[in-house]
Amino acid sequence: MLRSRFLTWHPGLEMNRIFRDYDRPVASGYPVVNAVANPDTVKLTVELPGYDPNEIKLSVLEKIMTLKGEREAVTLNDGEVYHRQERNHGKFARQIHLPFMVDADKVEAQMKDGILHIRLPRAESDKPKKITIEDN
Amino acid sequence: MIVNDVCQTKQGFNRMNAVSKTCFRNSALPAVDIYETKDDFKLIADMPGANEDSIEVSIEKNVLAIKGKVESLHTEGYKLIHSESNVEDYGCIFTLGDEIDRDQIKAGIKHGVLTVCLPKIEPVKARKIEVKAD
Repeated sequence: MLRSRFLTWHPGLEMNRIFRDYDRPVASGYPVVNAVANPDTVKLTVELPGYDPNEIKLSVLEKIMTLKGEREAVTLNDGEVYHRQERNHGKFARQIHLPFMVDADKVEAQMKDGILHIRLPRAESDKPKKITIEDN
Repeated sequence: MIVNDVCQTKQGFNRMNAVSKTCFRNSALPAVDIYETKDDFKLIADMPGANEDSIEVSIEKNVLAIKGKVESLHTEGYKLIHSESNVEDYGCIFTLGDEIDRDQIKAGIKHGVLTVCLPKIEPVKARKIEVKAD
């Protein structure tokens, strides 16, 4: 048994794992956010596995989007014991700076398979306007 | 993590043999909780983006493998401006101890959280044998 345990836990594999984690950007917060944008829209994906959509609060003020939520830990009964606990629990709050002002009324958000997809369209007032130059 | 795993007490070390975790090369390692109840071990893995169609749980001898594919979030016409994860697949391997009943393992996924239930083999009950006078 002991031998098989050591074969499974290979130091090389463990080192690979540690180094791979270091590859991740340092500024990574919780929850994990990815963002794509074009000049008119920002789309965010937030990894929120196991979160109840009703427990997630999303608000937008000018260029700042605030995301708050909570996930409860499993309550163990007497005699039950954790062997490994890596998942996050409790409350989180995260603010994200958007590349432009968004129209808060047109923000769409939906949860799918533990990923929150948010679509934030740029506010009309923030879009660049083309000014015609008159030739006098 | 390593220090934590190795520096368990002997009892804890033995118990950890029930389910131990390793990674696949080149896939993201999901965050996992494992807890033991009276009748089983519960394994809970965060795999956002994976669903019942893209996840694969398999067992071979004493190795439980979990693999999940995640759709790429990149969209046509959009530029990536911020990236904290570029997960395309998850994978991890758990080595199971002898006390787990391999035929009764059940798995389910909801909201990107995989739950695997690993029941314990019923301990053989000690019984008293009556000695009769011949």
